[in-house]
Amino acid sequence: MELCAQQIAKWYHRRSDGANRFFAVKEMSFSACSGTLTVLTGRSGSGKTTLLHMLGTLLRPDQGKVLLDGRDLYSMDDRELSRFRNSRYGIIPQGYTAVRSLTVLENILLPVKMYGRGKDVLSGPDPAKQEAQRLLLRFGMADLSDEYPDRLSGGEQRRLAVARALAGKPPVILADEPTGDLDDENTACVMEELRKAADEGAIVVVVTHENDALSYADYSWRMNAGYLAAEN
Amino acid sequence: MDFRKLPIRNLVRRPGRTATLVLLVLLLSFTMFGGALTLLSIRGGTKSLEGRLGADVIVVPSEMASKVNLDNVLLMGTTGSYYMKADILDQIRAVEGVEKASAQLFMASLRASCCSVAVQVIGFDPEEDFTVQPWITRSFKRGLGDMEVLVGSRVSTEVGGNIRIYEKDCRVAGRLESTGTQMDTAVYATIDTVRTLIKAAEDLGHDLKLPGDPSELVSAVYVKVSDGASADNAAGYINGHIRRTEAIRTKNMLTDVSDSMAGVSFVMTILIAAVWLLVFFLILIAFLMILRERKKEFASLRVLGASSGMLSSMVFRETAIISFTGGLAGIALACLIVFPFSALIEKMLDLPFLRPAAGTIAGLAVGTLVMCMITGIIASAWSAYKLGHVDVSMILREE
Repeated sequence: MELCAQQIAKWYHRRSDGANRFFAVKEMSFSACSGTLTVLTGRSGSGKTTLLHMLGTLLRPDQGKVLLDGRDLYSMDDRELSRFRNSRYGIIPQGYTAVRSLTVLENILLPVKMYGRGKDVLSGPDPAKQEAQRLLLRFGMADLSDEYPDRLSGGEQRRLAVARALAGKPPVILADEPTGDLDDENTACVMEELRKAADEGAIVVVVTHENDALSYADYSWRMNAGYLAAEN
Repeated sequence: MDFRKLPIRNLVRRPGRTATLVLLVLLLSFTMFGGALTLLSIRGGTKSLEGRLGADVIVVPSEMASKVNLDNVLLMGTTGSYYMKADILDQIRAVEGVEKASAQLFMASLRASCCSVAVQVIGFDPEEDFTVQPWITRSFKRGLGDMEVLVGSRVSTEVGGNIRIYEKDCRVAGRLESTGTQMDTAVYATIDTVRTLIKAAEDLGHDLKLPGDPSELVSAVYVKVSDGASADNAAGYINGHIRRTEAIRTKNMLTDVSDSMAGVSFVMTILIAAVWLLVFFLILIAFLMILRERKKEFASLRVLGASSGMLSSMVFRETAIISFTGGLAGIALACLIVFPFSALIEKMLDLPFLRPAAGTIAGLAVGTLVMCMITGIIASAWSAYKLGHVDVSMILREE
C-alpha cells in the first residue's frame, strides 16, 4: 500500500498580503509505503499540519491529488470519503479531541463501532477491545477505562487519542504532535507503539517538533515555509 | 457504544444544558396543549349550552333581573332562588306568537346538617317542559316520579341512593351528561317535588323569603315562539304588558357567552403564538451558544470518520429527544392542571367548560408533540448544518 501526494499545494488569501495568495504548502509531492514510519519536522507554521490534514482526507488541496493505492481520495463524495477515512485511517489530531460524553474505553473503540464494525466489541472477546485494553495498560491508563475525558490530565488525553488511532489497526496512521504533552517515558511508549504499527505493515506519518522521534523513523522530512525537503 | 446512542449520551452527560432545553420545550408544550384544551373545552361547553337551550325567551321577576347575573343563573346553573306568581304563566301563554311556555322553580339547598349536598335544585313541569327534558332523556328514559331526582354529572351521589335535602330523602333516579357548566352540580326534580322541598325548608325554620304559597310560585318561564313569529316582539310585549317581569332573549345571552369565548380565544391564541416565538428564539439562541462549544467535538468525530450527514442527524436526534421529552412533560403538566381544576377555570373564565372526547384530547396531544418537535428541529437546523459542515482542519488548529 502506498500513500501518495502528487504536486499538491494549499493556499489561502490574506488581506495583509494584498491580493496575493499565501501558500501554506507549496507545490510538492510526497509518498509513504506500508511498513514505514515517516517523521515530518519543521518550525511552527511551516505547513506540517496542513500537509498531514491533506494526506488524512481532512483538507482538500487546492491543487494536485492525494492517492491511496492509486485511488484519488478527494474524488469521493463526503459520505464515501468519511467511511473510507474511518476504515483506513487512524488520525491523532493536535489538542484534546476526546468525545466528552463517552468513557475512555468507549472513546477508543468509537472508530471501530461507528459504522457497526465489531458490534459486540464491548460485550465479548474482540480483537479491537483486546488491543484497546493492551494499549491502555501499555500507556499506564488501565484503571482509567471507565473514566470520562474531563477527569483526565492533558498527557492522558494525548495517550487516549493515540490509543484510539491504533486500536482498530488501520493501514494508515497520521499523528500530529502525538507526544506534545508527554514526559520522556510516555513519549518513548507512544513512539514504540507507532513503530510497532509500522512494523506490522501500517503507513505511519508523524509530525513532531521532537528530535527524539527521528530515532524511530525510516524516513524523515523537514518542512520549511511550505517546502518539503528530505532529511534522510 | 453504538454511534446511534451517542445523542442520548450527549444529553445525559450535559444535564444542565439538557434540562434547560427540556424546560423551554415544556413551557411551549404546556401553553399550546393547555391553551388549546381550554379553548376546546369552552367551545364544547358553549355548543352543549346552545344545543340544550331550546327557549327563545326567558321570563324572570324584574327585581331579580337587576340584582343577579341572570346569564349565570339561567345558563350556567349558578345557585340562585327567586320567585314570581305562577299565574304569569297563563298570561305569557296568551301572548301572540308564543307557542310553548313552561315554568321552572329553583331553590338552593344548604351546606348544612339538613342536606347531604349544597346544590341548586331545579324543578320543571314534566307535562309542559321543553328545555330540560330533551337533555335529560338522553341519559334517562322514563318519567321522573315524586321525590325522585336526577343529579348533574359532578354531584357525588350514587344512582339508586338517596340525597337528603331539608331532612327529606330524595331518590337519585339517574345521572345526567356533563354540560361543562355549574348545571353539572345541580339536581333536577319535578316542580311538585321542589315545592315539597321548599315547604320542608320552611318547616325547618329556614326563611326563603317567599312572596306567597310555594304551590303558587315559579322562578322562571321558558318561552318558545312559533315558526315565523318574532321572539323580539314577544319579549317586548311581555316587558310592556306583564308587570314585574323581565323577558330576556336567550340569543342575547348566548351572544354574551360567544363574545366572552371569542375574547378568551383571542387572548389564548396570542399567548400561544407569543410563547411559541419566545421558545423558538430561546432554543435558537441556546443552540447557537453551544455551537462554538461543540465545534471541536464535531471536528473530532469527523476525524474519526463521521460524515456531515451523520453529524447533522445527531444534532436533530438530540433535538428530537429534547422536544419529545419536553413536549410530553408539558402535556402531562397541562393535564394535571386543566383536568382537576376545570371547575375553577370555568369559574374564573365564567364560561361553560366541557372536556373534549378522549380521541380529541389524544389528537391534540399528538399535534402538540409534533409541533414541539418541528419547532425544535427548525430552531436547531442552522446549528445542525454548521456543526455538520465544520472546517475540520481549521478547528483542530484552534487550541
